[in-house]
Amino acid sequence: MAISSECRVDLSGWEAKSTRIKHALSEALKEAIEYGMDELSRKVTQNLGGMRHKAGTRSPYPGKIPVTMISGNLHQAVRARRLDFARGVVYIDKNKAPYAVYVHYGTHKMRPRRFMSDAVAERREAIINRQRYLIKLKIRKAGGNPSEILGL
Amino acid sequence: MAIRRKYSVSDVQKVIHALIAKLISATAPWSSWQAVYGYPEGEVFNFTKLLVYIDTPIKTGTITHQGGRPAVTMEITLGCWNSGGDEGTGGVEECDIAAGHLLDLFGDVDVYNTQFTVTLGATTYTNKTLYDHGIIVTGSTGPRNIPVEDPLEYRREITASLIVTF
Repeated sequence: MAISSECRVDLSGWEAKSTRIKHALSEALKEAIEYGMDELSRKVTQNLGGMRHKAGTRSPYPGKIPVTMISGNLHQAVRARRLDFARGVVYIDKNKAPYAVYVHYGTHKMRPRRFMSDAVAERREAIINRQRYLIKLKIRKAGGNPSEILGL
Repeated sequence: MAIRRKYSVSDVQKVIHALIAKLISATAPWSSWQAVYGYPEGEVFNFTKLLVYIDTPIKTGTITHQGGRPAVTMEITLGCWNSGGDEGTGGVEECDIAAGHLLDLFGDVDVYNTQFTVTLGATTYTNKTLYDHGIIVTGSTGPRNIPVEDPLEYRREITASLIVTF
């Protein structure tokens, strides 16, 4: 029986797995960001979808969420977009509803209705949990161990 | 631990308001300002003094641990509102000083040294600290510049993050 004179070190399997996991991670990140933006937009829109009342009349529910509507412009002004690979933003289109900031932070005559920060506070935990699940799932499907990779 | 679980929102707001009110009653430069519980209503907008308002806290999460009742994490917004007009009391600089003091208060262990008196439900807690009430401060962020309608008014907000234990 011949003994080989060379000892081969082959990391091609590890490299292939590493590439698979990297790809899975980037896919998962994309999905997680999309989910976060969708969920937050949905909640913000819900917070802005109160009952309608006539222009020039006081809100029947001052300072309360959901924000009551007159024209409905603010309700339709919720936008979301990706900033880059790992970041997205949910915002109000200022051209559609330039008064959004006054509704959110309040004025002398109007109590604040923090439709954005309330939505973040309310959905943050759920969004993070879901994002964590999505990322773990993708890594596991690619053959990786989420605990080792993410330290979770 | 004085905070009642079912009344945690109003109790935390009352405790933080009592803390700020105590500082305002006793310490410079806090004594130049006035504390308002909740969002300032129309009648307080005379701006003889800068307003420090303590808005309603929001629950942001739960911290569970084995063998005990879970604590909750909360965020509370504190704002400064000042006028630089004819009735002004320092304008934008005063507003920034107040915001800086609020930020520093919640970013320093000194926040646990101040003793204050607060009534929660039917019970009055005399000369207790924030820690006695089961509130731990984990940080503060801001100040955010808040747009106002009057160009001679200035408004800033900071957010303090808290852990509330019961």
